Amino acid sequence: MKRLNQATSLSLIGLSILIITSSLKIGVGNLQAPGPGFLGFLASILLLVLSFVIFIQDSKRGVGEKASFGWENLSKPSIITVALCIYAFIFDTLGFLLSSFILMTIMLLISSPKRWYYHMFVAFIIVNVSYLVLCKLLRVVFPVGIFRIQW
Amino acid sequence: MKTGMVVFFMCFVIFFGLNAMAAETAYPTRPIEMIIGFAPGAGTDMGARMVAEQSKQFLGVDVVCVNKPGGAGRVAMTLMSKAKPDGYSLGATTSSCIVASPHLESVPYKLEDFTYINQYGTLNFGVSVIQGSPFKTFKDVIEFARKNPDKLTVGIVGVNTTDHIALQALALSENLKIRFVPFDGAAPTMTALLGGHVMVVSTASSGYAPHVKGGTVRLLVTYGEERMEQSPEVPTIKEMGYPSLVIQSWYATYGPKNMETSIVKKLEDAFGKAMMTPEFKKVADHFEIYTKKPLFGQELTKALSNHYKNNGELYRKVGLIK
Amino acid sequence: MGFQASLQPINLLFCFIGVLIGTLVGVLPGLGPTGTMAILLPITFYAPPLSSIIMLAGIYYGSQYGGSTTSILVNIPGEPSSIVTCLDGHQMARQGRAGPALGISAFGSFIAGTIGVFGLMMLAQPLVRFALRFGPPEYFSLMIMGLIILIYLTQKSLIKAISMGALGLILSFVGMDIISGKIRYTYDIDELLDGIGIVPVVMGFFGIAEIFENLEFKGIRTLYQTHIKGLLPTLKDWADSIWAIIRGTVIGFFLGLLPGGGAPIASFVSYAIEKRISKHPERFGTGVIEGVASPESANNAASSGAFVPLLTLGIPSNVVMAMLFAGLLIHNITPGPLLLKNHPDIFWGVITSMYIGNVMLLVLNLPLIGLWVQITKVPFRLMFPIIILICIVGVYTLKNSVFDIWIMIIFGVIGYVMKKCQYEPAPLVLAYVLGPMLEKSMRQSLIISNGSFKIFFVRPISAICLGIAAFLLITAITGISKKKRLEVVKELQE
Repeated sequence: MKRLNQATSLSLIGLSILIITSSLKIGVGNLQAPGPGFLGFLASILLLVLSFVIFIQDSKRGVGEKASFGWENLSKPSIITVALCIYAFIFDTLGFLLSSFILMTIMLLISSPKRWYYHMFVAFIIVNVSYLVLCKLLRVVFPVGIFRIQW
Repeated sequence: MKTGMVVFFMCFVIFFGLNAMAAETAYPTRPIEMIIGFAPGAGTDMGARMVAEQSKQFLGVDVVCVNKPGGAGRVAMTLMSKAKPDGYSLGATTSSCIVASPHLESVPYKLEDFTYINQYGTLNFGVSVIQGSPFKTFKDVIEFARKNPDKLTVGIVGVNTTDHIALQALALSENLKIRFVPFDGAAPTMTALLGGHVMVVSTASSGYAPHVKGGTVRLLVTYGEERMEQSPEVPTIKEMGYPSLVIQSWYATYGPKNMETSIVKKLEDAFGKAMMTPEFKKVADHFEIYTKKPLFGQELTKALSNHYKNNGELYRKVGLIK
Repeated sequence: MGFQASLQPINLLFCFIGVLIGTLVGVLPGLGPTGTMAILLPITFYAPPLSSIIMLAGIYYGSQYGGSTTSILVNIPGEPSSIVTCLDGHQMARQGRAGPALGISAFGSFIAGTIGVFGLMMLAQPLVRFALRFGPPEYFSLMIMGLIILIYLTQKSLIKAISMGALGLILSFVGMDIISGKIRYTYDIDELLDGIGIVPVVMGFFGIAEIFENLEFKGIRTLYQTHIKGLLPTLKDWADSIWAIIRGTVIGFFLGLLPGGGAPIASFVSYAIEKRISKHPERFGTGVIEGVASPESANNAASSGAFVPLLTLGIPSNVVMAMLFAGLLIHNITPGPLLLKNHPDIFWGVITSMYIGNVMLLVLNLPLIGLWVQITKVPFRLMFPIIILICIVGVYTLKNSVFDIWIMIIFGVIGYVMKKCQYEPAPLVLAYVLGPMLEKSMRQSLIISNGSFKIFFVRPISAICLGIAAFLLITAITGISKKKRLEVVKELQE
């Protein structure tokens, strides 16, 4: 936990340094005539200072809470994250109906790995109902993918 | 259990598969997508939607409008430059994205990356003040700026828009020091004018037209070649003595380059007819974007490249680019 | 006269359709009213003008009602203006009090909306003149005040909250800068030209991160562990909230008037003020009913207020109003000072239909509370995929861009990590909302004043806002130092 906190504050420090350099590059200007980087510069300096303080605070504190970071806890979020990334990749190529169906099935599967065709059925229903409401009722436009699946 | 699964799978495949069959005969056989590079409700969007809506009857398929706003139209243009030229991906935009942006910013597309279909509207710009303003004519404004350097505040709709550049050129040639206050959209600009926070504004017709009609705002000058039909008493900037500042910006439909000529011809035809419908005319009149003699296809392309070249010279003169 | 027009069957029908669609749109996170209205706008070409405007207006304030539902139930704001409702509303739901939360939200919205309509009717003209006096310097000071109010929204570490705020500001600057035209912090990613987009960020930070957190526990669970305690607000709830509702209405209406102001700012200013003057500020964020009543009333009052500039001056205060504006223009009606003179039937018709719409929404939403509360009993493992799908769809439909889905995923992961490290999401999101206007107004003001900072202090409204901001800041710091002293004392005793 402590390490995670430190990592977070360090990343914030890194980010603020990155933004500071970008702001300087695009021009900070001065107080009378602020440039495009002015407020970004100020905000990132603030962030830098504060993250630094947080970092020191975290380092001083002992190992307080136990780490709630086993694979057991992280498994579901990680799988879903991976599934979402895949989804984003295939969304345009396979179209809404197909990719959402795959995603839903995976998400339902995570919770109870048995009875997977039951999950596919539920996913099928859910995806089509949302398609009905969104596309037909609210006239939202979705990609149809290379197989041109739509109705 | 296993057979159940197989049956289910088969149903699934059949259901989806049936829908996936498509026959390719004459164009167009399925809905066409038109990507609008601006937010809904803006001039580009309304005009494009009307063209799309009215052209359905002539094309036989739906023209579906999708908004992909961003970067004042540039995000959509970038996407379109990489699209397939099969005639099912089209776009609608303002000409400044094509003839101005490539000069001023590093955009990943150029004029030659697109096939131009037709012009569906004209952006007219004008300078306006509130009714109670001491400025009665445009000359008053210039005199004020001359006598009081760095005092005149002019509200503009975005930096380096077509009219902003024209005014910068004016300031340069007359040796005036003007403070340009940018806003992001015609509405905030007009609000600032009405609240008295800026003295003068320069906007497109979608900005000033409703307020001129309502009587709260007075139009001083327009930037077109001829006087506007809607306001015949307002002089043009040419009459005021600055012929080089005549500017025009167009709304145009386009597609990626290398589209088949037969497809382009069909689209030109359909869109042209769409623009003649009374519904389209009504919308175009309201936003004052109506064009009497819109340009199509080859003429449009030629006009755009001329524009592009002229802009290059103008920007160099004003000092916007080296 | 207006009632005659709006009570006609066809207008009632359009009103009903409008509020129905609006509620649906509001409930679905991400799907804003703008997109739907844009799609439906062509329909208004063929429908009579009054009916179409009534429908579009119905969609707008219907969505304000619907947005709170998901905020309370699943901690995902359906609308940016509902973000603040998540803070206390969801906590109430976790304690089994989802019913009262939804109820007070519906009632508060109704009361605020109705009062707002009256305000619109009576005070439109003088108010709009007041609103016009808000120029860039006033907006800047208002934004500063808003940022200071951020401090009031934190329950945990103040330093972490401020750093989230700073991060939010930074994120809001990504994209094309309107003042200079330069492109900032996009590192050549085209889709970032217009900025990162608040909806994907909010969906990720609030939605995905929250779901990830809930997924950590093994075993079957429903959305909440406790059982439902009653469906409607109790008398005590009413007593607690009535002043919050009134205050929220007033604040919301005024802030909604300001072009560019609007519902998000109204809701969290109202919440912060409620917390400030409360006798038990430390309980805000744990599920106090005023924390729901206040922002919900504020955002409905703000949507009524937003009509004022449109109907009286012809200036749309936000994108939704711009659509209504376009809709009116199509029917040859120019909103503006002459609207009342030339088309009084439209003017009054719209206003009275807003009142009717409010009633309809109340009638629609109250029975639905029972339904929503049932949904909380659905097992989580079935709910969360649906929620994620809804989030994805909500995000995608904004700009039809898969990139936005990526943003949501990225911020989901980041948000999850941040939550584990005790950083709160609210300050980031709120700073993100305020950032652009803050910077814009500052630079515009400096152009107008030719570089002089005096402009912020010389103009009365601006000076007042800055004064309030300073006051809040000072009291916050002294309040904090008292708490810190108590903490230090406690630590020393251990």
